[in-house]
Amino acid sequence: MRLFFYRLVLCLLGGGFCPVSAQTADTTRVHELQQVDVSAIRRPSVVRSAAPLQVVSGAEMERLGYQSLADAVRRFSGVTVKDYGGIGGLKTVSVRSLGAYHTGVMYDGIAVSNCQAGQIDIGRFSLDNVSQVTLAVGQEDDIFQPARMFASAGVLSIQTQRPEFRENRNYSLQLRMKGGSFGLVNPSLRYARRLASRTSLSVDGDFLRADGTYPFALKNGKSVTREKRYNSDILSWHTEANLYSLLRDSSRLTAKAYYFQSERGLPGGVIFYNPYNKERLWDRNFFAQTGYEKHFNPRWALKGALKYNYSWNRYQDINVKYDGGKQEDRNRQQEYYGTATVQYVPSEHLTVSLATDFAVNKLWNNLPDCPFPTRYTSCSVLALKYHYRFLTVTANVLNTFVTEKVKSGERPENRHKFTPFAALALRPWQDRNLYLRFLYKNTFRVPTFNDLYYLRMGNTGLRPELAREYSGGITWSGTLWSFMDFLSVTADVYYNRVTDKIVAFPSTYVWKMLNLGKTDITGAEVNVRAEIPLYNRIGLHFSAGYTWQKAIDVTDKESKNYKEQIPYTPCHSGSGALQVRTPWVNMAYTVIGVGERYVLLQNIPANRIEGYAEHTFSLSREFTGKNFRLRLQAELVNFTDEQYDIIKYYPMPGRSYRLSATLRF
Amino acid sequence: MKFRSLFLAVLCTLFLGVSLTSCSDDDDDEVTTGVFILNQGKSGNNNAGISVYNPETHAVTADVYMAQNDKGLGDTGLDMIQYGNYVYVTVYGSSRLVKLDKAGVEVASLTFSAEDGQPRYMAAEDGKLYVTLYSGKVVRINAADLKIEKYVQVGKNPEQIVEEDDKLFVANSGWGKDNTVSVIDIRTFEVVKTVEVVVNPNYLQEAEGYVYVISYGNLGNVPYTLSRINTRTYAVEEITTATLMAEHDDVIYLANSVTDWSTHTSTTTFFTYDARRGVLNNTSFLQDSPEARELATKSVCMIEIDPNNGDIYIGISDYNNNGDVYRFTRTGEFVKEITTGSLNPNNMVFFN
Repeated sequence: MRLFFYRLVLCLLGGGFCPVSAQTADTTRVHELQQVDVSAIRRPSVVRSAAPLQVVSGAEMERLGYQSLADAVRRFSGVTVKDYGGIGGLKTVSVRSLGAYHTGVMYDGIAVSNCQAGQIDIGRFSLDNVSQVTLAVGQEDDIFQPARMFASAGVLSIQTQRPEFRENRNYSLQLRMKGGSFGLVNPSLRYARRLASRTSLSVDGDFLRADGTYPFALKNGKSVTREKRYNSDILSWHTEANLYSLLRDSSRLTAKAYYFQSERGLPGGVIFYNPYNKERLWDRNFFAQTGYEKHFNPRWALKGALKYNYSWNRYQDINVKYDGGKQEDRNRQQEYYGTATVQYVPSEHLTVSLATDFAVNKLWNNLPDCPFPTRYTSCSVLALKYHYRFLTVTANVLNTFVTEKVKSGERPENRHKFTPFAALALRPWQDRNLYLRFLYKNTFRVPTFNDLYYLRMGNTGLRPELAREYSGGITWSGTLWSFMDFLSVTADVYYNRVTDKIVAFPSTYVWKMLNLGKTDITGAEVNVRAEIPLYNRIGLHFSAGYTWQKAIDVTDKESKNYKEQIPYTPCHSGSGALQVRTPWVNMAYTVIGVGERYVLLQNIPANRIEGYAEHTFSLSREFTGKNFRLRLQAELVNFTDEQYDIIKYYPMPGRSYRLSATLRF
Repeated sequence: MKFRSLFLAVLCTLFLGVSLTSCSDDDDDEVTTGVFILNQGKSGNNNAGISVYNPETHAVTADVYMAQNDKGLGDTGLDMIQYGNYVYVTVYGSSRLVKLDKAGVEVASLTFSAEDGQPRYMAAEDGKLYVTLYSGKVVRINAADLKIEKYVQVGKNPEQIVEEDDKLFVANSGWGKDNTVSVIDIRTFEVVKTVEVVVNPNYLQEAEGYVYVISYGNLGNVPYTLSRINTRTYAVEEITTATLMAEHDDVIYLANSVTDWSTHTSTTTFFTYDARRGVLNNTSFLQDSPEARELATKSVCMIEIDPNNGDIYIGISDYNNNGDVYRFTRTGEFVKEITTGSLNPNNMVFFN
């Protein structure tokens, strides 16, 4: 059984020697000419998935020269990444314009949460130990998951690398050194060891520093001046230890401990005539999680996990306007989380799962009148997946209950909601990989601690923000022309509606968070992927995506911006990647293009920022020695030196380079 | 005056032409030939600007500063005054003070250092400008060449400043942590008295030997309060609840905007205070009209009175879209609604 499993994995990754005919091959057959990654993670199929899905592997991200997780995610279709510039700047992900609060982020199967801000800063995840990143609209097809996975409008899932041991060695070591423009120095280490025949341990560590003083062009009226971005430095390090164990009864046990620490300058927005900025942020995050999975028999399986998370941050601003000359905000959050999922497979057509999660979140901060809230969240999901011939139906209902306790002040009402999800995938012809898919999902997000309690703005009377998603699409994969190995195309159209949107409502003197907004989102995405073997061992891999989005504010018929595009949402955006693999050198070219956007609610010329295109080129070569592999890579990022902002007045770096050397034993 | 822009030269000539041919009912009135509206912009967006309003044609030119100087005014334009033949503007976010001529051309600018702190409001007297700085100081600047002369320490986060009786009165807000008004002798430029008022004082106006103060209160049990200080005895007298004021001809024009957060609707009442007799008049100074009723449902951010003819200008903003200004005659009759070139109009100057 296990032998079949490994052979299947090799098939999926190695291609060529798999006893499956070319006609019914699906997109999971990927040719990797120079590297064989034997990992226990299955690459999901973007064509067969009932929910729109995009996948990128760690190896691919490395070869294409993606600098960070945010860099990889912003190239997905339908995604808006808000990047405040620089290596250490805040970066948040919004899927299909629903907002960053509706995007769930999973790290090795367990949700990452931030109840205070509600948005996850994906800038802090390094790519060094990532083996796969997937973005699913709605949720992923696999229903054997914790309840939290079903609770967001979109899920960004990060999977880390499992230990790999070559040639019967019982250890493996990877050393990497990266350096580049703006003082970037980024060494990292990965050590894995087989402790017993079925137990292995891996330890990761990485360190990053950069001074971030990049030049940029500042346009003010008719003049354009060259400035430098100051107070944009970062110093961070991260270490992680993972234990994987296959127990005697074939059940799996995993444990992880993770620590991250950083200090960075917050350069803030560029203010004309005033370059002074002394804001700084310190972050510390520790979490430990443990998971257990057991398949009792082909019908019954059980999965469970526990997690503890601690995060602390300190914000400091030095300015004479504060009492005492400086302001210091300190925050601490703790989370205790547990989940259990049971899967029952009564027949070959039907899978049923029942998952339940429980979480306790606490906040402490040093702001006046902090109510020290404790939030208890309980989620349960009943899901089913039915597959019969040409039809696959997935449906679930999620039950969420949230209650909060505060030490002082008012407490918000309890929330209790049932939210449904349904997805359908049809395969009209059995001999063709053509699928039609439809999806409906109803989700909500509860107000964050900041929304409820922050100084005078907080409002404990807030209701949850509701999101409704409808999506339909066609996917296809196969070989269109004989020179192609495969081609896959996915095309989706969607309509989303967000109501009771939590926004800050101003009156002349005080701003308050209210459930005020309504947004109507219509969009379309197309993704293409192709593999073209050229000659002998030379191959071409091409992928591209394009998104069209109309996200309009429909809150108030009287207001000036009624039915106008919401801020920072481009109408047109797209990305492309081309890799050429030869036995001598691998080349990759990637481009990301984003159309014009508006920075404030009113779509007037004064509020418009221009679109941009950023091009990156990378070269790499791997040398294989007796018992080591050395990989050298050079990247030229933004080689046209495009000066652009994602958020207005937070300029992005122009042309820069990076060099890296990776040694694997 | 230097006219860098032909268009603006034409506009100004039109103003002159209009002033020669127009008639006014009241012989005492001077004719307003031009109006500047300072738009604060949204903090962090570098979109402060000055719109020009033609009181005869009601035309609005979006940003005269940008048109005349080929660059932006900066971030968060806070205060604008007319002194001599020039207009002075404090740009809080950009930490600078600019001196413009009546065509909007910049003739001088001054940048404040980090130790100075960012500038807030200004008063002018005898060739000098007095600017409040967020470091807790008031600075005296020579109005001709914008050179800094002297500093004096006042309370925390000083806001508005007015001159009355050879003294400067400064509201120290402390962002809610201060409750004093500092009194500075203009000649010696030293603090001679610190008067305690309702917590978080911000706005000041002067009339007839009194300085009127609006304090924000504590956003809890102490509401927005209008008080007045006798400039000789320093006695403080609380008058009523109000959020905004303007002064003209010894009458204080007041507005009180209240927002009900459960329905997120705002209500504003307008009333006046006779400074000469010391009497509050709760009747609205606006005549009943659909526009006046509409204003009563908004949160008001600006009241300005044209000193030449007593016309009342009331500004509203939703902080997300460009601001609107409603113009009324001195008797409260509605004249026109104008949309300014940027967000949050907060100040106007009237040229004659």
